[in-house]
Amino acid sequence: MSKLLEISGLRISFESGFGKVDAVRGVNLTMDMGDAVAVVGASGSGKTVLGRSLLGLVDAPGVVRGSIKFGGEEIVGKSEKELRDIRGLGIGMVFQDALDGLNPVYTIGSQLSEIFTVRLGLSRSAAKSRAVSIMEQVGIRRASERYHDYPHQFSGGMRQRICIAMAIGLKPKILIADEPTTALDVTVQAGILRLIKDLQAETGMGLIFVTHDLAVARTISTRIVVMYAGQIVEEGPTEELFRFPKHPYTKALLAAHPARVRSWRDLEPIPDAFVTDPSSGETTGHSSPSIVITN
Amino acid sequence: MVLQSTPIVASSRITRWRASPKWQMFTSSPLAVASTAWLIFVVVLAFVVAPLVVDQANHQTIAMRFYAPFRLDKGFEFFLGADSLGRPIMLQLIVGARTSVLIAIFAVSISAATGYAVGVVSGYFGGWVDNILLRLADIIHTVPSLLMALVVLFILQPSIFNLIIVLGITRIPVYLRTSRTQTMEVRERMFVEVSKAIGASNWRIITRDIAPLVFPTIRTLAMLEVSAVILSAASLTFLGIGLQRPDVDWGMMVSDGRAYLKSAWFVAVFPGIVIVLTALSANILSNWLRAVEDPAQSTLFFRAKKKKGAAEE
Repeated sequence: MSKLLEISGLRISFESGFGKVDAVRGVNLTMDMGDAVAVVGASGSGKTVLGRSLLGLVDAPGVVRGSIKFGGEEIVGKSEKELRDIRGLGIGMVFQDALDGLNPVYTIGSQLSEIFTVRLGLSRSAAKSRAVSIMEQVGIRRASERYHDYPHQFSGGMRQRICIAMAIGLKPKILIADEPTTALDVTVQAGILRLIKDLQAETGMGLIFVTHDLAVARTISTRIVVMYAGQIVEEGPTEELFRFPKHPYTKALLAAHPARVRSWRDLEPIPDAFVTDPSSGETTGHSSPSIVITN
Repeated sequence: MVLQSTPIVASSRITRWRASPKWQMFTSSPLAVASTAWLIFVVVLAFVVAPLVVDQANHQTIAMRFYAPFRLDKGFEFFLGADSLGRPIMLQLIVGARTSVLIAIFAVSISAATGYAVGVVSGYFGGWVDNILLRLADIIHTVPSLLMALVVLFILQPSIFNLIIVLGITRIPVYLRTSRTQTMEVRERMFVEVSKAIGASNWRIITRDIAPLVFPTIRTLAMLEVSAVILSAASLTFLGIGLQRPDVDWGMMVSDGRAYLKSAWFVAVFPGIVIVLTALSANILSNWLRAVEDPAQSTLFFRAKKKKGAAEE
């Protein structure tokens, strides 16, 4: 029996005017139903593009090589048309920018129910009741009234809830959440995280949670993957990793996290070596640093 | 308490949306009502009244040459005076309305529809097709549209149909560029990405996500182009390859009257006023529509009206 998701030897590179940039350099990852994997790493470590590649959403200058198997089916190299069957139905995705995630000219309800009429072929009324129930499921109060509201009448947190509703509406087997709480303030963030966690427990779907926030990763995941310069440098069960980090970069990340210390004086900045020389993990002799991490 | 007040709020929300708020917004905006009324008036004149008065309008009475306006002693038809051949200006305006409105509607529709469709599609897909289309638009744009119209109309016969086609084609690049640029902007927005991630097809993204956001701009542009097209038709007529008498349009009347501006101002001024009024009405209406159709703006608009109403009570 094949795993729900099997990524092996995944490489993603972008051809730019200044030469080739490798965003992901040989990632292996497997997960099953019910797994909650947090992908953490600094900006530019390749975690977002890794998430997008699962849906075939890496655009033109980007080249994906290696293998991504979803339920035993190869995703890399599929045509747009074949990918469409996987998007939404097999793998759903929630994006970072919730404020712009909904089309401003349609009501919330019509955008939600459209998914059901188009993708599942439901009738209008069936789609509507389905949309209302999913709005309730993601915690929108008085859902049937708010069905006719436009996105601008919703707050940021509520819009992100709707985006989550859209992503899970078709009952995907995997939900990819790409920093879904970064644009929101902390109280709203907690609500969204709880929602995602609850939904996962309810549906048993696999969750890939991309974030740069270690505290968030700890709350939501059962397993953590630390990415650095396009590679996975450490992987393990969440609590174990937090208690006994092995890789120097993970140690440095944890040492830099405010939750671990009593006073700001105890904070350890990330050593310069990790900031200026991201190619240290790779030994294939890339002469120029492929990703420059600033600050 | 809370339980009791909730249903009241709810029911008022629902009635608010059921009572066709757009119609209410329309009737509460005098400018929108006035410009719609003017446009309807012109269309009725052009297509209902004009056929009845064609003969009278073209009847020349040399004795009535440059008959001054605002006098009723020669009959109502001479209320706006008479032109250089003694034709009643008022009736000429009515007959001219038919041609002007026809040219404006069709030329603008042809160019707006083509430019809009091609612009959105090429802006969305990009690539070499986009590049070729853009260069093509550049070419059309660089050749002065008047010159192109001149050549084409010289080769073909100058007729209303050819005039519409020529004006329609030469105006395409304006819409194409605008819709292409805006599409490229909308394409990058998050909700397009979200649609893609739930498996929407390109066609669906173009028609449902992108085109509706580009449309208001194109419509506003089209309304602005109405006057430009009427005036282009006029300049072609002025050069002698546009309309030929006995056909008449407003632009032709303005250019006819130009020669007599010192001695008989009204020959050029009345059709001029009519062109301005029509173009202005089209602009006001498109502006109003844009405000109403934008959900964010329309709610604000409605709220402001409501508050005002509440204050009056």
